[in-house]
Amino acid sequence: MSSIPPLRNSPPHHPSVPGGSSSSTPAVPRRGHVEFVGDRHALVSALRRGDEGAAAALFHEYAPLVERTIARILGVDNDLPDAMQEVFLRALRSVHHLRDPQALTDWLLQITVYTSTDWIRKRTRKRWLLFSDPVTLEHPANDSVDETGREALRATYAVLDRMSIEERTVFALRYIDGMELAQLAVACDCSLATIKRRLSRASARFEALAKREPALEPWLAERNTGVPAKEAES
Amino acid sequence: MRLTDLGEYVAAVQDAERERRQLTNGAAERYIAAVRRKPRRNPLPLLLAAAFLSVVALTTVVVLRRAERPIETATLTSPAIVGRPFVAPKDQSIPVSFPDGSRLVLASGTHASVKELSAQGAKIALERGKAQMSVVHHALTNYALHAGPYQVSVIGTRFELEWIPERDRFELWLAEGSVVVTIDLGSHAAVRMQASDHLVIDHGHWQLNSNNSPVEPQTAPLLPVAPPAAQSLPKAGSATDATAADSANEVTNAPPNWLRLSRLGKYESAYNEAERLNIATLAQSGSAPTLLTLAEVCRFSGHGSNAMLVLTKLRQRFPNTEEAAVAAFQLGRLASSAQHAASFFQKYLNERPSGALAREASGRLLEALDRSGDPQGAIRAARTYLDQYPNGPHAAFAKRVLGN
Repeated sequence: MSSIPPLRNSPPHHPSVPGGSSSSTPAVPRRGHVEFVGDRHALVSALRRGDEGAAAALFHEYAPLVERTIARILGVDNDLPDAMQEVFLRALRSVHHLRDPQALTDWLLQITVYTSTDWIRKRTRKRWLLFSDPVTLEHPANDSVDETGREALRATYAVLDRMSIEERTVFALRYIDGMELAQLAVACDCSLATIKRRLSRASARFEALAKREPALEPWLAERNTGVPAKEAES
Repeated sequence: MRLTDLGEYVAAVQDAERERRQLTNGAAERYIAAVRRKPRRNPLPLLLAAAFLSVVALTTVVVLRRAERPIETATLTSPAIVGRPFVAPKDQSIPVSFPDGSRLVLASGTHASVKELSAQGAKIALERGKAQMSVVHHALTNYALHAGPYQVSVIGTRFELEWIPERDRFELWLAEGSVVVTIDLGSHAAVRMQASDHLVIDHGHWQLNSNNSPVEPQTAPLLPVAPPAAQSLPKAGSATDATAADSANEVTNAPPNWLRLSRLGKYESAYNEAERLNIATLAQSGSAPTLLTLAEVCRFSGHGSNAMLVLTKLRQRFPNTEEAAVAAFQLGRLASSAQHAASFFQKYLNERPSGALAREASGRLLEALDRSGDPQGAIRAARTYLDQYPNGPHAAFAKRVLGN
């Protein structure tokens, strides 16, 4: 029986650098894997050619960012995978419009924001047509998210649901995702001044609506403890 | 209203929810299927495109046809391999190579599967058997091996792991680097291992042989390992907001039950007690040192979102204190995104530039900036780190950042 040699007494080994090779590594066939990570120009060129491997690599690299961004804007619900797929399909359809491959991330982020806002409009129309209740998180029996957190999450998105799409988007990306203002302006395809104005309105609106949500009370202004006034939001 | 604090908290909870619901499992496969269905706009000669697609399609068909059979031969991990079981034959070990050059070798008879794959790493489940892992370290490296209730978190190292579920026996030999083994047996705990360490956990009883010096096995059931000294609580007295609850306990010389349980390392029981009293209420009324302990109870019992709530409340109620600065550091460790993490570590450094955690915060800030896609910020942080800590644990990483 062949077994792997014990590690404890073996000499130090330096794992091979990506792209290099080790003489002790058996030859391994590479099937269906296209190396595009980090090489934006090659990836974009291949996408324009309709290369399926490049399409897969695009998904592979950007799926976490896209999924997270959609979740911040929409909340976590069953639409997430479909919205995510739509982002990437839209990207493939419009990749010929991308002039600078180095701007791939920003460009994909813009598509993500557009798709998410479209999804909200579609969801709003559907609810209006079907007279259905807003989507709420499931409350599973065996969960890793405690009750306090779940309530705060539900309440936050309940408030966001009552805001305009533009204000909701900038609020979610700025405060929940922690996006910097400059990147937020690029993602929303508007000027920094516009983003700041939108954010100011969004913050005021959120604070006013949040008073109706008891789960958000811990984050309301301290009134009784004498703690100094909170820092101004930057 | 502290909108950034709320946002950070909600982000952590949301990320945990996404992780739990796994809504996007299988999304890659559905996307590729949709890509194939869409009409093509291909300027290349049709013959070349058709030839390339035939190769891809044939390869994909071969992979899909083998979907029901476990993988028994050496293969390169690709998105199509995710979720499929690996089974090493009885007389053969199989190597698995990852795109970044990391390698996993499964001993004969071992069962494993790759649960997730990304450009930064993978999540691998060892169902049974023995595996050797050799991980190439990058700024973003993130591998995790799961074996039963145990998880080995890896960013760049070499080790051998054996998991025998029938005997409830977990054994890990670490050759190089360091790993953190997370143990979730009701009481969430972690063991940090260094090179040459050997860890055995047999039916919940653990033995850590460090540098070939055997440690007496624990006869009691598994207890959580105390957090490292660098993160120990600062001395009390820096914040004076002793509350009625604390005062009452001081008078009677009887700390709250949850506090006593936490000092025994029984974090899960401590959390249950604290939750019975309502975590939010405790966060609203406890002293700063108490809140730090409460946050640790939440964290070590696997309730990260409540830990963030408590730490956030601490910073609101006791600003500019030692405990508030430590809370910022802990929030950085808990943060779900690199941007948030960087923000918190920077806050610690702003508030306590010479604090006990300053070196660690500087190193983690550097890592977070690098992960968050802020190359200029990372370069500045790397220079600052090397100026202050030329021989620190993150010095090599800082040099790599500057080299890139």
